Amino acid sequence: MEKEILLEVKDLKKVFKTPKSKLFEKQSGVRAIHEVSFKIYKGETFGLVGESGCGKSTLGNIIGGLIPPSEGIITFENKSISTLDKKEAKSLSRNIQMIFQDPYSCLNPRKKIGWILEEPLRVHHIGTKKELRRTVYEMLHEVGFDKSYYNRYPHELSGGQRQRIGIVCSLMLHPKLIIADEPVSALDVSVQATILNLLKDLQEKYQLTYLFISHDLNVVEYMSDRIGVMYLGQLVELGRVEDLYNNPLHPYTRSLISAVPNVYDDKYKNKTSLKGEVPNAMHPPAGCPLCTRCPECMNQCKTIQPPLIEIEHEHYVRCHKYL
Amino acid sequence: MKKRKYSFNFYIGIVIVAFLLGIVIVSFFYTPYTVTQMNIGKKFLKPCWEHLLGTDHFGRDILSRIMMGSQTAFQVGLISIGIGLFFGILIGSIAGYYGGIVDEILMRIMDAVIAFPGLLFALMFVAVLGQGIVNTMIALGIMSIPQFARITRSGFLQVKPLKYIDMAKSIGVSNFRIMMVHILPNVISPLIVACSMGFASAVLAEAGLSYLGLGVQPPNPSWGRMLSESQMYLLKAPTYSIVPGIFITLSVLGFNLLGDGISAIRDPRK
Repeated sequence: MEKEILLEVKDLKKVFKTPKSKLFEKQSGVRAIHEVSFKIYKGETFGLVGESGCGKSTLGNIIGGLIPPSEGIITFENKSISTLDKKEAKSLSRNIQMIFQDPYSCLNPRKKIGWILEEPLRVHHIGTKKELRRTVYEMLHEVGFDKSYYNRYPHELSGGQRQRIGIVCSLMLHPKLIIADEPVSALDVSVQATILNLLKDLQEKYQLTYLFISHDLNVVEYMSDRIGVMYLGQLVELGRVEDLYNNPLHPYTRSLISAVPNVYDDKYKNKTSLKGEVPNAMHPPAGCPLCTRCPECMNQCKTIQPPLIEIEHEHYVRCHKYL
Repeated sequence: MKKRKYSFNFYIGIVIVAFLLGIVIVSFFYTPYTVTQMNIGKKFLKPCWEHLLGTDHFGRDILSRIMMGSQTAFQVGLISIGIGLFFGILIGSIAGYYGGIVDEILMRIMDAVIAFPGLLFALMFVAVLGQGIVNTMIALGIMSIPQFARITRSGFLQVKPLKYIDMAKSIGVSNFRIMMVHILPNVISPLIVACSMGFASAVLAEAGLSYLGLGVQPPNPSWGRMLSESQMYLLKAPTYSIVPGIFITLSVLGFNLLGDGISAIRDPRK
């Protein structure tokens, strides 16, 4: 069965220019995203993992339209995002919504919950005042709040409650794709489970597609159908959850998975831990991004960048070992 | 809700401002005498029951003129602050929101405006465009733009990187709406304080300009003008100059204390 492609990213690059400190200095840049390509199918959850600073949030922000890419093409429902005019861009913003990491700064402290939730509808001119109110009540009910929350301020809610409001807010326009940028990493574990289950329930009910960004491997494994592993702005491995967790190919993925605390410690007996630090993104290595830390580094790794190749069905890896 | 502690300054400020505001309101409906009514036979009267604050060199009732003068002071204060606030918020929010080269250009223009001494600029402005209360208000308004612009800009710089602004953007809210509806309410409180302080300095500046004969034109009453007219008769009729002086001092003091008080309430560290 051929799955329908909702979003496709091709050769995406993003360089953040550093401010010039001298007048005739050659401007340098931080390579945040480098040659990232992947597809997201309709109805699935695509997980994106990687350590902090690897560019996963930047990728989310680019797809969410908050920052423009330096190079590359993003197509949503077979339409290129970068060539849209103003009107189309606005309707696109209805279809792609974001959930943010920090529930404490994602709600405007001066506005009531009701106002915050009505804002998406108001901006897109959907419904009269009365209808807005009713829709908000319905959506609040959906995530387990009663009507009294309509007139509350964000500071009256707990972190988990705020995150639920953030989720509702992104759902108000019935988007097709939701970019969840570390939606649970600021919450404690008991609340995490509630939020994750809520996200799953909502996905079923509204046929949502998620781009789920997280650094927590357990969370990503629980949520995702397919996973992309990022390192230093590059997608180093991409595959279905089962393949990736049972048969990690890239040395980075392997060490990442073996680093997860596990009750059955014999499962990954030969731990492959990485040494050293992530190289500076301003001066990334010429070859494979991992070559400075990789235990299996070969000569060509240092000079030639490996391409992303398909090893088994829907399992891609970017490593010289498998060439 | 936590009970807010109001400072002593705040109470004094509010009492003085309320008192002055009361005078302004009463003056719209009632003054003991017509302000321009002259009575040469009764000039330089000491305070008495008939004329509570005495009369001036034309025999006009000083209390009535003070009351009408308060209208002028408040009018100048309100309108010049209004001009400053409107353009200040506009410039400050654009500079703070867009940043970069736009910010640089706008704020350097503001720096240039600040570089002029306020009263000197107002003098020049009035000298070129003509005397009168309208030009005075415009000149004072222009001079107060930079402080509002700076306060707004710094507030915008604080709020802009917060996630709820990103969220608004991803919803598809227009830039203008983000600036005015999502960010501005979060930066309004320091602006209120600045308004109160700015009001005081506008009253003072108007008095100064009128004293120099450039603001309000005779026979309309203004506190500054009364001061300048009375100085020739300082020994003959001291109340004539003391009374407008007291009112100028009182209004400047009142609004400054009020501003001080509000900023103390808004500051969570106190």
